[in-house]
Amino acid sequence: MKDKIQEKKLLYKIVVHKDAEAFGSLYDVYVERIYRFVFYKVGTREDTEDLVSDIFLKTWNYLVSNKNTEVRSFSGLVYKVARNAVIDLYRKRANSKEHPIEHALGVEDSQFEKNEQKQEVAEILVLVRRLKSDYQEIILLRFVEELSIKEIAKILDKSSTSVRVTLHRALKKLKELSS
Amino acid sequence: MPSDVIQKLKGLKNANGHGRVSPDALWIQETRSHLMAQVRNTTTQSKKSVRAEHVFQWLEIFMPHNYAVAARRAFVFLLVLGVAAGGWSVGASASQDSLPGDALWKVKLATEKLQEVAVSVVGSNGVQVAVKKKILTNRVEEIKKLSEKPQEDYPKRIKQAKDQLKTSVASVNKVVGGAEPGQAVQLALEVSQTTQEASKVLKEAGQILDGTPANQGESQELSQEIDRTTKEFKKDTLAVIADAVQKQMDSGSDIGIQDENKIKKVVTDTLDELSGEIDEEKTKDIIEKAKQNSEVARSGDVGDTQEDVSSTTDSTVSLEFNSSTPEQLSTSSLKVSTSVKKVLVTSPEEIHKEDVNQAIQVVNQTSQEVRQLKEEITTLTQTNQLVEALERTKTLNDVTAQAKEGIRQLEQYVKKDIVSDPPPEDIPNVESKENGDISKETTVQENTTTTSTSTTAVKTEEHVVN
Repeated sequence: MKDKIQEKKLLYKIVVHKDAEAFGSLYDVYVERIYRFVFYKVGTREDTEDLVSDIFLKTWNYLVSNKNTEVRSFSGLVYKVARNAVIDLYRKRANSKEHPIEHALGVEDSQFEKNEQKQEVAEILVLVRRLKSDYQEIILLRFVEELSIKEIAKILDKSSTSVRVTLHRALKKLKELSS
Repeated sequence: MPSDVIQKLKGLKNANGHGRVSPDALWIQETRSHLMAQVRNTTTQSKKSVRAEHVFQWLEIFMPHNYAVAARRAFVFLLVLGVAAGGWSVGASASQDSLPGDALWKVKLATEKLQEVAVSVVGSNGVQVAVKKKILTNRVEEIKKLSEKPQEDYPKRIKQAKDQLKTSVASVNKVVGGAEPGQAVQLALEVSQTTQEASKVLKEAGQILDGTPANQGESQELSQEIDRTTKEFKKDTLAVIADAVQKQMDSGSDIGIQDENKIKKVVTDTLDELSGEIDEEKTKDIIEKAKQNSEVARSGDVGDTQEDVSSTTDSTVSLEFNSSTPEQLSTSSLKVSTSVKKVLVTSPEEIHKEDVNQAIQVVNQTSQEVRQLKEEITTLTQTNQLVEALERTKTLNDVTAQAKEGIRQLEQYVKKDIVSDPPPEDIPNVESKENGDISKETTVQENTTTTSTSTTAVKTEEHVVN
């Protein structure tokens, strides 16, 4: 709760006073989360690093350039920007007929597999990879990033009910795959 | 097992130790530096002033969306209202200490008017009376302040205050007149106290005006206006109380003992006040002097009013005092009709001998009426015939005013010592020699020129007082 209020204060400083330091503070809080979110979706370090840097710059520009901005949550905005950036990358890869996700995940999966302690984690990652894109996204946001249903709904531009239903179906599918 | 799946999914987050999911610390630092450099390039140092849009953004960030929208609308509404009311209230509050004649006094009156309108829409009679009484008190306080340190323009300011006071008294009396029987008496009595206070301060202002050397004529005229106004106040107050009592009686309910005593006190106080306005000894003295000066003095005239009245054909004073029992007093058996020829004198120089005679008659007649009325009022009050007592007090108020006017005219006549016939040239010798008064002789000599050139005129009119 305290973090939320602190986050809102920083957001207010950015929107109203274009406070770069406040943005820096929020970067510190969110950089790892956004990196992880993007990494699980794009699969390679290079693409992830390029995207994350671009995502934060886009977020800043959106906050300070639009006077009528009605941003209520920094996390909601930055995840939304990240998701759109990933979608753009998918499109780009599709046009170049590359399949880096599977390839990348395969590489990373092999890294997990080598570590016995992380075997279970690697297995579940493989299963998640087999889910369709919508399910993957919602599962990552809910259980890895630990966002609330309401926050996910805002990021995905869906209703909370729709998110709950999708999440339920994703888990059911994941269970089927695991069994 | 879904719970197992969820646990494993959460393990993805904790897979940082692997070194692949977590970003490199150096990369984080470099990206931050690079990002901050870009960010700083896009910003310009702006002053941290608070604007309305900043408030709206604050609302948007810190409140739920629906509340933020509602709060934004409310904020705009309050802002508009605040600006409008703020400007008004600053002016209005600054005007609260203003006095009649001040630039902001009109603003103060407008503020009060606004209050009156507001309570007239939503307030009961009691609330309306309370507000109007407060406004009346404001006028009284203003006159008090003006009288504490009279300025050069004191008459002008007092005139404004007096006119406004009249309006306030009429306004509050009107509301009391429309009150329900249950509360009318109480409200009328409450207002009567404030009106009495108003009369008192006005009279004091009149006394100050009487002693004002500058603009003597204007001040004197205003002083007389004030005198008439206080008389009207008294009359109106008595009428309002009488109406309220009558209304209460018509509704079939009794007046409480407390209110009854208060009404008696109002009557008694008015009686005492009116009694103090005519000094009988002084009146006799003035009449005597006036008679001597006009050479119409007859033996037994002074102090023998009955003979005066009966010997007059132009003026009729009909006093049919058939009974003194309370029962009959309350009916029309007591007929105090006065038909007197009132002498209107615009200036002392216009007084003739005939006018003096008539003025003497008026004073004699009204003085007699005053005595009769006082007796009646005392009897009616003692027998709890309050409405009749109040009505008689009203009549007494009018008659006393007539008497005072007659006395004032005679006073002026005696002071100036002017008689158009016999010729002014003859008077100084007679008067000065008879009285041996040097100062008086001087006065007469000064006035001789004036009276010899003045046009004398007698204006009479029938004035009936019931």
